[in-house]
Order: sequence, then C-alpha cells, then structure tokens
Amino acid sequence: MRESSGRFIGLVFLGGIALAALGYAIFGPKPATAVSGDRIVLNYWEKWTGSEAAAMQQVVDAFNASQDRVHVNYLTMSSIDEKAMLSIAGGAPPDVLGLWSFNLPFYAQADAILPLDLQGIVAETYAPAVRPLVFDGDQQLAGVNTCSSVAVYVNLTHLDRAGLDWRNGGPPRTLEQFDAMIPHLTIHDEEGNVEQAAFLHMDPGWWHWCWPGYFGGQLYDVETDTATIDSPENIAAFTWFQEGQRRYGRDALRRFQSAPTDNPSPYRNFLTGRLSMTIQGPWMARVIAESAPELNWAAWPLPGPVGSPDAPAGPIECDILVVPRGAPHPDEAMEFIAFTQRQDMVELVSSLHAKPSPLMDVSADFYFNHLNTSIAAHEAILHSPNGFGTPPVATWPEMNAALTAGVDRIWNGDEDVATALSEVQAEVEGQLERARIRRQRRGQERFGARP
Amino acid sequence: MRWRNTGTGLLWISPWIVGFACFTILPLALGVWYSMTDWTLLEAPIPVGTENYERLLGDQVVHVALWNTLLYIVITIPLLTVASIALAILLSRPARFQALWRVAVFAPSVLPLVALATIFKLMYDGELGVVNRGLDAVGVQGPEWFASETWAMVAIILMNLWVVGPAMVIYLASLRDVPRDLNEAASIDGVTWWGRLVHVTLPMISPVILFNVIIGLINAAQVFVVPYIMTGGGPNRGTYFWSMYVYDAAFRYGDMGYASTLGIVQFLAILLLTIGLLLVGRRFVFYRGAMP
Amino acid sequence: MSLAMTSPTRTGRGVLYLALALCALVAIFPVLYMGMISLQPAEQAMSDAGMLLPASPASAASDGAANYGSVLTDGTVNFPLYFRNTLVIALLSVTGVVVSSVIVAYGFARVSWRGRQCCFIVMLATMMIPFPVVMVPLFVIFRSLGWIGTFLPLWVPAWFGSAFSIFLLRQFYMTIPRELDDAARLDGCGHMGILLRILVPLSLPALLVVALLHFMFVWNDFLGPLVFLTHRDQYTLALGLELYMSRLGTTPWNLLMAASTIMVAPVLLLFLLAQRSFIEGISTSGTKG
Repeated sequence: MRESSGRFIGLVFLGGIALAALGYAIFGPKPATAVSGDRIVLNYWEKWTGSEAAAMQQVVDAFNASQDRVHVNYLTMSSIDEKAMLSIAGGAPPDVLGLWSFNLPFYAQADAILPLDLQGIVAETYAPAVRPLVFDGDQQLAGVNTCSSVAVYVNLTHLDRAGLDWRNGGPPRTLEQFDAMIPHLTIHDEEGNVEQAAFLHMDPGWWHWCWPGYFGGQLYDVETDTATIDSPENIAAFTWFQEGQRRYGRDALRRFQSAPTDNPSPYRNFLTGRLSMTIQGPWMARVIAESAPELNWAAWPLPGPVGSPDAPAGPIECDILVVPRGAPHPDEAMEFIAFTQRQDMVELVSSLHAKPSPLMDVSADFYFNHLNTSIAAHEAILHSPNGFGTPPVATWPEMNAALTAGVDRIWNGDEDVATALSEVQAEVEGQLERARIRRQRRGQERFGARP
Repeated sequence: MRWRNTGTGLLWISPWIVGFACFTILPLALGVWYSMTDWTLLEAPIPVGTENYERLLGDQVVHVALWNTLLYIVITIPLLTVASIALAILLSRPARFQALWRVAVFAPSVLPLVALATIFKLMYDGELGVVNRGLDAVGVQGPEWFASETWAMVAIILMNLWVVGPAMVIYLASLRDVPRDLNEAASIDGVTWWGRLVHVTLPMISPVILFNVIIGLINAAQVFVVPYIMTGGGPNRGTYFWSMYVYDAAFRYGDMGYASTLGIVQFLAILLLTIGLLLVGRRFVFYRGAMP
Repeated sequence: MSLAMTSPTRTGRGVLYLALALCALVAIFPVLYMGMISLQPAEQAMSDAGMLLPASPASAASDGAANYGSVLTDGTVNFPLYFRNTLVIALLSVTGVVVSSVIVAYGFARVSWRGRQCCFIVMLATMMIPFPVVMVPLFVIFRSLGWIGTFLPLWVPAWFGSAFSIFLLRQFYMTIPRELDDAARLDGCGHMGILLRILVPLSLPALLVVALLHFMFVWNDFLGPLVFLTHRDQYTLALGLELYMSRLGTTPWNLLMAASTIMVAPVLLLFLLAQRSFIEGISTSGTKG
C-alpha cells in the first residue's frame, strides 16, 4: 500500500510539473519585438558583449534616433562566423552581420555578401592598411566598425626594478635589444620555478599567424596564390618563437601557467605582475583600467628585423560590417552601415573601445585624452607600411587550423621548426589546390585577383 | 489472411516508416550523393565522383581524428565497463539507504553534457580547478590539463566516469537475474569471491556486457560535445575527434561534400565495428539457453 | 545480492558503507561543486583563496541571489526565454514521441505479420546511425522545407517515433498477458480498443520512462539546436549556456555555474521524483532485449 501511494504522490507531482511547464511554455517570456510603430526592423548580429556591446549600442541608438523609417535591433551572437554561414545557407540571415576582416574572403568568394554602395565613401576614406581588408579591387565589401593593431604591453615597474633604462633609452629598437631585456626581467624562486616571466609568445596565443610579419615573411603570396609557410623568413620567425619557450623550458612554463592567480582572464599573467611584457590589442588599456588600475604600463611596437621605429611592424585586424546574401532589407542595411562609417560614429566606438581610428581623417581631439595613453604605438603600426593583416584567402579557417596545430608542435618542442612548418606547408598547399580546382569548376575569379 | 495482417501491421508502424524514410533513408541517400560532389555550403553542388574519398585517404587531419577517436574508444570502453560493473556490484550489496546511493551515483548521468563539460572545465582549470588543488593538497603538482595533448585526452576520458549511470543500472538489473543458487553452490565448494566473480557472475551477465559495450562503442565513436566545450580539439589536435572534423568541415570550412564523405565513412566504420563485435562476442558470450 | 558475503562481519559492513559513501560523494561532487560556486561572490570563486564552501549561510543567500539574479536578467543571454524555448520544444517533442511510439510499438508487439521481425531489426539498427552522419543532409532537407531557423526540425521528427522509445515500449507490451487482449476482443474491441483500454493503462510506468528519457534527450541536445537554430531569440538552454561561456576574457565562473544550475535543476528534479521508474526503465532496455 505504502509503495503505491508513494508512486501516486510522485505521479501527482510530475503532473503538476508538467502543467506548470505547459503554462510557462504558453505564457512564458516571448522574444522582445523591438518594433517601434511601423518601422522596418533590421536585425544586426554582432560578436561583442559587455561594455564593447554597449559602445556599439550607442551608435545603433543614434541611428534609430536619426530617422523614423528604420529600427536596428542589436543582437549578440556566439561563434558568429559559423552562425552567419548557417543562417545564410539556411536562407534566414540577419540584415547586418558584424564579422572579422579575416572572414571576408570566404564570404566574398561564395558571393554570400552583397557588394556595398555607401554613397561618398571611397577606399581613400580609410587608412591604407585597412583598405585591402574591406575592398576587393575598387569594390567595397564591408564597412569598418573598429580596427586594432597589436603592440607589446610593458610593465614599467618591472623595467625599473630590473634597472632597464627605458626613460632615457626609449623602447627597444631592434629584436636584439628586446631579447637582451629578457634575462633581466626573468625571476626564478628558490625551487627554480619561474616566478616572473619576461615575455611569452603563447600569452595570450591569439595571433599565431603574426610572427612571420615581423621577420618580413608571409604565409601566403597573393600574386602567385601559393603558400609560403616554410620560407626562410618564417623559419627564422618561428625559431625565435620556439626559443621563447626553450628559454624557460616547457614543463616550467606549464607550471607557470597553471599557478594560481586571483584573476582568471587571459590577461591574468600581465595584470597580476607575473609577466613583464605581452602582445595585446589596444583594448588592453581598458582591461588594465578596469582590473589593475595601479599598473604602471606602456605599449610599444614589438621590434623585429623588418620594422623600424618610424615604420613599425605589427598585425592589423578589423571588425567589419557586411550585408549577407538574402538579407531581408539590403537597402536599409546599407543605409545603416553608411551611418556607422560617419567620422563621428567611428570615433565614438573606437574611443570607447580604446582603439585607433581606421579612417584617414581624424578629428583634432580624438587622440587627445584617448582612453589608451599609448594609442600612438597602435596608430603608428596601423599607418606603417610594415603593418600586415591575415592572408586574403577564402580558406583561412582551414589554413589557420593547420597553422595552429603546427604552432602547438613547435611550442611544445615536439618538432624542429623546419619540419613542423613544412608539414603545415604541405597541408595548406592541399587546401589551396582544392580551392583552385573548386574555382575552376565554377569559373570563378580568385578573391584578391581583381585589379 | 497473413497478407491482410501484413497490411494491418504496416499500417500500425506507418508513422515509423514515414519517419524512417524521411529522416533516415533520405538523409543517408542524400549523404551518399553529396559525398560525391564538390559542394560548399553557400554554393551549388557539382558532381566529382570519388574525389572526396580519395582525398580522405591522404588527409593528415583524417589520420589524426581517426587515431584520436580509436584511442578514445579503446581506452574509454574497458574503463567504463570495469567501472560500471564494479559500481553495480557495490550497489547490489544489501545496505541501508540503497536508493540514496543509487540515485547519487546515477545523478550526474542525467545532467546535460554541456553543463557537465562546463563544470569539469572549471574543475580541471590549472589555477582555479578543484582537481589540481586537491592534488596539491596531497603533494602532487597537477598538470596544466589542457596544455598537453596527453593530459587533455586523459581529462576528457576521465570525465566519462561520471556518466556510467545507464550502463551501471543495466548491470545492476542483470546481476539481480544471476541465479543465487549458482553462487551459493560455488561458495560451498570453497570458491573465493574473486573466483565466483570471474567464473560465475561475469559469464552469466556476458550478454549484457556485450550489449553495453556496443552501446558504448556507438556513443564513443561520435564523441563531440565534451571536447567541443572543454578543449576545442587542441592542443595540436590532440583531442580532435572524427565528429568534430565532420562539424568543422561542414559548418566552419563550408565544405559540405567532404563533410558528407566523412559522415558516411563514420557510419560504415561503426556498422562494421558493431557487426565485428557481435561476431567476436558471440564466441565469448554465454547464453543461458545453451547451458548443458 | 548474488555476490553477498555469507556472513558479513562488522568491518566488512564498515568497508561497504565507506565505499558506498565515497562513490556517492565522488559522483555527486561536480553537482555540489557547481552549486557551491554558484553561491559565491566573484572574488571568492575566482581566487586561490576560494574555498568550496561559501563563507557563511547568510553570504551564500545574498551572493546566490545576486548571481542568479544577474544570470536571469542578463541583457545578452536571455535565460528565461531560452528556458521557455527549451520547454516548448521538449513538450511538443515528448508528446510526439509518446503518441507515435505507443502506436508503432503496438504494431511490433501485438499484430503478427510477415516481415515484422525484419522491420524490427532494421529499426534497432537505426539506433546505430550517428547524428553527425545525417546532420548535413538533414540540414539540406530542412532548408528546402524552409525550416531552418524555426523549432520545427527539433520536434517534428519526434512525431514519427524514436527507435529507442518504440523498442522500450514494445518490450513492456510483451510482458502484458495476451489473454487480456482476447478478453477485450470478445467484448468487441478492435486493435485500437485493445491498445487504448488494455495496453496504455497497463503501461503507464513505461510511458513515463519514455517521456522522461526523451525529455532529457531534448533538454540536453546541443548539436541539433546548434545547427538548426539561427536566431538568438530561439536558443535553447544548452546554446544559451554556450553563448554565456563564450564571453571569454573575464569568464565569470560563479555566474556560469549559476547558469549551469538553472539548466540542470529541472532534469535533476524530474530524475529525483521519478528515479524508481527511471532506473527500472533503463534496466528493461538492457536485460530483456
């Protein structure tokens, strides 16, 4: 008896839960429909969250207030590049997509984004390094949201403590000078563990593709459509990269990385004063202001065999805006993108993100009182002839996957640099060859082959 | 009469037949066709014959994914089999609060894998994770789990120990069906506990072991969510599994033709492995009907 | 039971309970850990000093309220909405599976017809097809139906039965004596009458298991929603959790664990309420096959 009544009570409970679930499913929260009157609603997918999203929301609000015909609905998405591809293929894309510049060739190659016609905007509107990232020949394919270049962030207190005279000597001008600082900034504890590291190439590990650029190498040659991953320059670059690990030893570094800190972010080692120098984008200034305001820091271009103090080298990336194929309201989407390209709007987002301006014309007070006190370093890289972007290939996601695996092998010291790079080279050659055959089958032109 | 019955039978199972045709046969047939095309997700397919299959043979990434998946299967299945049988034996002992122990051991198995993988990602975290802090407390320096290919694989495999629930419960039920007199007779003959386990209990539940191993194989061969959340396949593709390559090829590289090829090959491999297991298993499995 | 020692000694029982407690604790630890972290403030959850237990019950209550409040009112990741989306999909899908499996299992258990065995084996074999294999073609099929970006791909297939549920129900029907059918037939019942008056009422526990298992499957499904849903407003909890996680940079583990708890709680609650039927149902599938 007891057993069956227990079951009965259980069933009643389950029934109650089922009813509650049904009620919630029917009467629960509905997606917010941001329709204001009879305006056309544009869905705009973007990757940013938090304060970076809030900055872009200001632009969206300004656009929504500037006219009464169109309303833009800002939506944050995770893994936005995959979601974008699926939504375009599934025939239900948003009106505006916020992607990265390295996504562009892939979408352009497949005609998955609409060419832009933004009245009055020409290639010369943008900084030279930005142009090839959003134009194919004369054709604009994307608007620029913000733009970053990568510099080395330096803990000045560590330099002072090590007796390095940056005040008079200035930033290191050559790679040799940079490397010479490293022993002074490395501290071991009594047990031989690394307590303070000078510079780690794998911290944060977001720009594996950047090292060749400092050595005058490139991963891919646009003119001949060939992979150049195992070129001598690249071998030199990744040999320097591997030395960065050998200097400390793999296991010592793993211990260093797994040591507890009171900050879990990817920036933790620099922010907690365990790492003296790290490469980062300009938003680092904002991160430091939020999490470690007492840090005494500066950002310098990372010197390399190629760059010079006047024309420093460094990677450049853009956050871009595109209109996907099949967008419900392409004209209004372009209207919105054109609005975001206004100098005041670009500067609004860029300054809130602590980034340099991607435009040629910069208002007088933009760099005055900039959130990033070292913005000059980022600006110098952005306008330098030695600045570089990701290779303009449609197969970049695959190429990057191959490179990442190779870089892991080099960093772990499992393989010597030349072997690892030649393996990556072989893998990437296969990818490029397949892409060529694919284009031939379809009678397409290669991205970037346009004059 | 029989044919009329056939009509009735087919009518009753017709919902399944429709579903089978639309969501199994049609996708499989389409998959075979797509595997013989060059098709990027965003453009139209073009037939290319067996090109994708030829590519697969020489693809380094396929070799890595295959090796990882096989390694994962070969380690996971014996580990899970031993763990779930051991737990089932432990939980089959008469004890107070038996339901409580069973629920506790089973509970993590009902959790969404995404959530479980998230929890374990934190637990394995090099600096915050409770795993390394626990190891630290006993004087062992824990590894940076996701920095090394080996440890990342170990981390993913170990997590499986928390989802043994279903297999464990099936073993529990089958242990209940082992005739008690067999064990008692052996016990009177002076056979040790271990001897009874190896010579009586395990042979008696061997059909269930085969069943669980096959289910385990099918699940292990398509492992996706846990490495996707915990490691993303790295480092150096050390935890990059077959299903992840299918997903990447299709939805990250937009290469639907090749992704279909990978999927078809995965299906055939699972089919062959299962048939092989059934054939091999038949020689070792003890069916009670065959008792002299 | 079969391996029980003949005369358990005191130490034997001690060891047994120790082993049971240890296994239970280790098994349940991730769940407890998740709950504990979700009740801590960020500084504690993220620091070396962070202990397993919150500082005090009072702080646990206030920090917990803050964490869960922050998760539930997040501007980017709308968990209440994803909760509803997941429920809508789950309810439609579970209803479909139950209705269709009840019917199909009848065809396999109670109608004897030529080819039945063959069909049954084919059906069992379909359980072996990994989802990633049919994922790409299914995407194409659903695209041509215009279903991408809707909930339809996630629940319509359930209305055509799921092999596992059919199998489970058929096993259960087989245990119900045929004499009951004959009696009903004498009363003038057809197949439908037998099914609705005899088999369904007698197999309610099995139906519960089928419903629960399918509910959990839908609740936990990650790859399906990942591929078939495009718009953020349609996300399920599994995708919402991933979206929440993807905010790397300042991974708020205490909030992430609170979000995980929100996702886990319904399944865990259902499991606890129905644990007996649940465990029985699963063991049926394995031993009597």
